[in-house]
Amino acid sequence: MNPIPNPGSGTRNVLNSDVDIKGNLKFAGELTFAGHLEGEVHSEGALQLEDKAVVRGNVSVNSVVVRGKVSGNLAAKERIEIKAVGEVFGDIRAAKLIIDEGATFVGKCDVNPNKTFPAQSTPPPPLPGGAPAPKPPEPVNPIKK
Amino acid sequence: MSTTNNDSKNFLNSEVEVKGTLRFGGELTFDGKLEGDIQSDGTLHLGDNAAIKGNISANSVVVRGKVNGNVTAKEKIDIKSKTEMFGDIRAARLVMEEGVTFVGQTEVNPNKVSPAAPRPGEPVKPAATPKPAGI
Repeated sequence: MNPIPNPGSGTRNVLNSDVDIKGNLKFAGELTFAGHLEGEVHSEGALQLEDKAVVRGNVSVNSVVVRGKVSGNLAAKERIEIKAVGEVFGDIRAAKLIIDEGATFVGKCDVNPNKTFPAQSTPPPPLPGGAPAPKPPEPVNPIKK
Repeated sequence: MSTTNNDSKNFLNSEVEVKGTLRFGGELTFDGKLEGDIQSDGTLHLGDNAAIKGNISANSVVVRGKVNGNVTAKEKIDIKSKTEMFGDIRAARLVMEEGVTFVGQTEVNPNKVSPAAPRPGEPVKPAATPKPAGI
């Protein structure tokens, strides 16, 4: 049971492991998915990928919990959670990312809720053995926490 | 190279600044500033005040503070909330708490699975040559 329904739409959708979809999937509210999908997922809602779920395609949602396998990029407005049994091969972009121990994740990651930058504004210098760059004044934005 | 004294516990507090390569055995808790690399077969704990500009290679790393560089761990990387990490990650296991800033690439594949999860029901070519686990 998920105690927090998505605001604005209380629908709760379930697709079990005997479901096979080729094509794009849109939903509102919540979707618990345990089937196979070859295609994309677009939603403003919350997606739960169960252990048996296999998704080959990009996922763009408000939030997603990954317990299954994803080959594709994950984008979430809010948060992405990869559970220990989850496997993600693809890039991740979200405001918040939580990874449990044991999860598989190979890809790029852009999780920068406060839009901070590295302590130096220039790209990272060639690190080993290089002459240390002079330290510029740190252009750190004041971060509201 | 580093000694195999795995009982040693080392501490560097927040008023420490290091420029250069840091090696240690056993354990190091680092809360200072470092411009350079850390290399160890041991366990590294970064504190909230830690600021690293350089690459980290250790057996396991608990990341706090700010890291601008790549982190490699034989075993496990644990990124705590409020950490700011810009760089790539490679480890057998990764744990990331909510509230982390992380921009970079990740290679965390504890079971060495390959991405091509074949759809069930799809004929598998019997003569398919085993692909090298692309790492």
